[in-house]
Order: sequence, then structure tokens, then C-alpha cells
Amino acid sequence: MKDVSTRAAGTQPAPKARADGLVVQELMDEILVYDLKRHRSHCLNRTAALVWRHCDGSSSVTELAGRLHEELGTPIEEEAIWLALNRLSRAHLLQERVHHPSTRDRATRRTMLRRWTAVGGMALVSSIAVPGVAMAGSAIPIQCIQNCCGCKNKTPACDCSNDNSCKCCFLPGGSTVCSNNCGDDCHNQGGTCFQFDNNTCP
Amino acid sequence: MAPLARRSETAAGRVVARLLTGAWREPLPPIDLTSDDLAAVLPLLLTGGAAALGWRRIRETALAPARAAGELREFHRSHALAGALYERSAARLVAHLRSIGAEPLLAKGWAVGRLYPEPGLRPYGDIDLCVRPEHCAAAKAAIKALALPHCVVDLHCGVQRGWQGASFSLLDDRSMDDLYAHSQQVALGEVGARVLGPEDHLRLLCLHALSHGAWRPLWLCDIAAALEARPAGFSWDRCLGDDPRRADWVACALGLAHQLLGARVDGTPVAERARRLPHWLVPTVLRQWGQGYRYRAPMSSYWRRPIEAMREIRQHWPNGIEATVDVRGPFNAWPRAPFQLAACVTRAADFVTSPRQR
Repeated sequence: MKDVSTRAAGTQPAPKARADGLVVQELMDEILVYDLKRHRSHCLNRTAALVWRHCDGSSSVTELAGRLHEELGTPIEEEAIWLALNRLSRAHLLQERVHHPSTRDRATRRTMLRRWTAVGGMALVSSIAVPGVAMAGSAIPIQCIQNCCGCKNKTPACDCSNDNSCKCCFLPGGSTVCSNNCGDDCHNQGGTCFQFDNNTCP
Repeated sequence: MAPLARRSETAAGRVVARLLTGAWREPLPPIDLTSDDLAAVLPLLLTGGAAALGWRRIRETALAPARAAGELREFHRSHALAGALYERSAARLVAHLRSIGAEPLLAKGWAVGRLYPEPGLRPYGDIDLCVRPEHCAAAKAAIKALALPHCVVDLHCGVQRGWQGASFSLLDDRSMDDLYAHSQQVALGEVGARVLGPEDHLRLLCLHALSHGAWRPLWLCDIAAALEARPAGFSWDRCLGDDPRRADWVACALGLAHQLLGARVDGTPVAERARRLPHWLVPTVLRQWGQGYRYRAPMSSYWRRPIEAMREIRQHWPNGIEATVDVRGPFNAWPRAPFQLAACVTRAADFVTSPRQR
């Protein structure tokens, strides 16, 4: 990935959204992106989604801020756009990496917090879990897939060598306990016990 | 099981039903639940495939900031993105099968998910599709060669005589020619896909849900969504079919969607039946929903472990709905125990005579 900030000192970069190798799904107020190359998935909040959509390779940061102002109906500081671009960059969703060209503006903690809030806080671009489609449709919670599929033969609690399968206790609230025996114990805690076999884990 | 536990399962099932009432509809009906209710049924929603629908129901209510709501939202996102990946794979698969002359018919999963008002409201599992028996071998080879990422293909070769909940075989009273003749071409990526006609699809959704004991709330949501999305000119005669017993099963499944989730049956031939279901039917579903998912390992895996097998048998005891459909019984007011026993005997006989299939 090239570095946009080194390209033209003193001028603003015109970032361009990456399009290849991505699967994009728009929801009501956010955009979900799956990176087919890196097998990572991201959730862009409304602000980040708007910034990303307007990254056409010809709009400067100032112009992006103006567009967002029009669409959101509230003034957006350029610094907030930089923050969004930084997040998008780190998620590899821009064709070229973007860095803030100036290091003069050393924001205080308070101003940084204010800017974060203006663009939706830390959740500008967040990671989300996307299991294989088979997992999404299965009755087994994603948390179990994520937390328990790798447990085989790793710890005594997950020593599932007896019947070549592991069990996951899925508790209210979404926490999981992986073990080789979670039947009644799990149910008594209000949880549900799921069993994995070789065909279950991705 | 103690009556108290049974009552609490039914109560939890009732909360699930209240939460999912009208979840497929625009605009959404009002909801009256507490964050404690939501937290209590969270695992049931997740395992029942209804997390995203649950999120849709509460996202614009005072429950949206609740912790449990955050879990539901995550599932919605996950389903939405997994769905987009699924569609890519499904489009490739359909195009590939079409190129070798094996036009597939799609059902359930994505084929019903497209009837919901937003993406991601329904998780997709495998790609359920059916080809003509004469295309089966070529289709199998093509699927294997394609090695699709992100999905599992459940290929059905015709609508062979069979039962036990194997989806397309639930339509074994119809010929493939007939199913193709009534099928619809719908958008899927750039290729488009052929899905079952609305009458056949609704019938299949109803029979499939019942054949699995209606344990997944999502299945009744699917039925409700398909019922309310039916086009003008929908043929109830075709949907219900000629066999009076199966027609009654379909009507009862629609009745469950009506009574539990508020699906609209006014002006349909099943309206009367939907309002007067056998007394055991709704409680059976509510209890099942309140129990949530319980893994049922194949009995064949217990051949050498008789003690564990005895324990597992409890999990395999079919509920009244599943048992009735298993033995092709009527949905009447009689107690279900004889049907459940008969279903177990039938299954045990199958197990003993062909252990590899269980």
C-alpha cells in the first residue's frame, strides 16, 4: 500500500476507497465490509461509511468534511475526517494509506475525546465476527464457534479426546465455557450445551 | 421433568413469541418487554436463529441500549455479512450448474430470506437446492469441483419418496416437472436463480417446520413472512394439496404462525383452522422454544456406549408435533403419547436395521 501523506507535502491527499476484493453489505445506518484477501470483516459506522463512500480519489479532506456537513446536517471538523481516514486506512479499506500530514496539531486528550464523539466514538470502524455461512445458519452460537472450536487437545478442560468432540456451554449474556462435559451443569446455570464434532468447526 | 421447569420453559417460549410477533413486518407492531425478559431469552433467540429479528424488533425501543440487545445487534451484523458472502457463492453455484444443464431449484434459507424487508434478518445455513435426478451425478461432481468457500451445499436429487424431514422430499406428492413449471425466476447476483413457486414454498416451509417439531422460532417467522408476502393469485388449492392430512398439517403450521406470532390469516381458507388448533399444539411449541436447542448426537455414535446411549435417548424423545408427522398421524385432540411412542419404535426399528443411517 502506498502512503498518501508523503506524496504531496503541503497539499491535502485525495483518498480513494478500495473496491477490489471486498464484499459490502449496507445496513440501515452502517456498512459492513468483508475483506476477501485478509478474511477480516469490518463495521463502518454512519460517519465512517459516509467518508468511505465519498473517497473517490478526487475529493480532499476539506471537501469530504463539507459533504458530510451537508449530509449529516452538522458541522464536521476536518480532524474528525482525518480520524475516520486513519481508521479506514488501518482497516485496509483505502487504496493508499493516509496519514495526517501535520504533526503540529498535538491534540489534548479533551479535544481528542470531543473529536471522537463527533464521529461516533471509537466505533468508527470496528471488527465483527463473521463465521462461515454454515455456522451462521447453524443453531450453534458464533461465540461457541469462536471460543471452543480451537479447544481440542489444548487444555485439560478441553481435552475432548474421548469422543473426538468438544462441548460449549453458552451462558446467558453470551459468555462461553468450553469443556468435554457441560450437560446438566450448564443447563442448571441457565445455559445451553452445544456439542462439536469434526464437521462443526470451520 | 418437574412441572415448575415445564412452566418456566413455556413462559420463556411465550416471551420469545412476544418478541418475534410481527418481526418480519413493516411497520413493526409495538412491543412490551423488559430488559430482564430480553436477557432471559437471549440464548433461545441465538440458538433459534432469531437473534437478528429480535434486534429489529427492539432497536428503536427503550430496550436498544440493553446489553442483550448489543448481542442481538452483533448477530444481525454477522448474519448480514455472512448472507452477502453466501449470495456470492450461491450465484456462482447456480451459474455453474446452469452451465452444465442442471438448472437448480432453491428453497428455504436464502429463498425465504429474500422475503424479509432487510438483509441479515435471517441466517442462511446450507444452500438447499434440488436438481432433476438425471442431473444428479453431474451436479454432485460440479459442486465438488467448485469447492465453494463460505457455504455448504445440500443437494437434493429430485423429490424422492421419503420423509424424516428431508426438505425437498416433503414435496414428494409433486413431480419435478410440476415444481419447475410453477417455479419463479428471481434476482441473485448477476445470474438470477429459480426458486420454488410461492405455493410450493409455503407448503414446504410448513411441512419442514412441523417435521422438526417446530423447535426453531425462525421457522414460524419464515412461514409468516412467506404467508404475508404471497402474491395476488396465490393458489391455496395448490399450497394445501390434495391429501387432506397434509393439508391440515399445513393449515396447523399456519395456525401456529398466526397464534404465536400474529401472522395474518384473514380471508384465507385456513383462517378457521388457524384459530382452532388442537389444545396441545401451541403449548408444545412454546415449551420447545423455551427449551432451546439441544444437541442430538446420532444414536449410531453410541453403539459401544450403552449407558450413554440410554441417557441420550431422552434427547431423542420427539415432541408431539414431530412424532405426529413422523408417523403421519392427524393433528387432533387426542393425547400425543401414543404417537410419540410409535415414532420412537419406528426410529428404533430404523436404527437397528440400518444403524449407519442414524
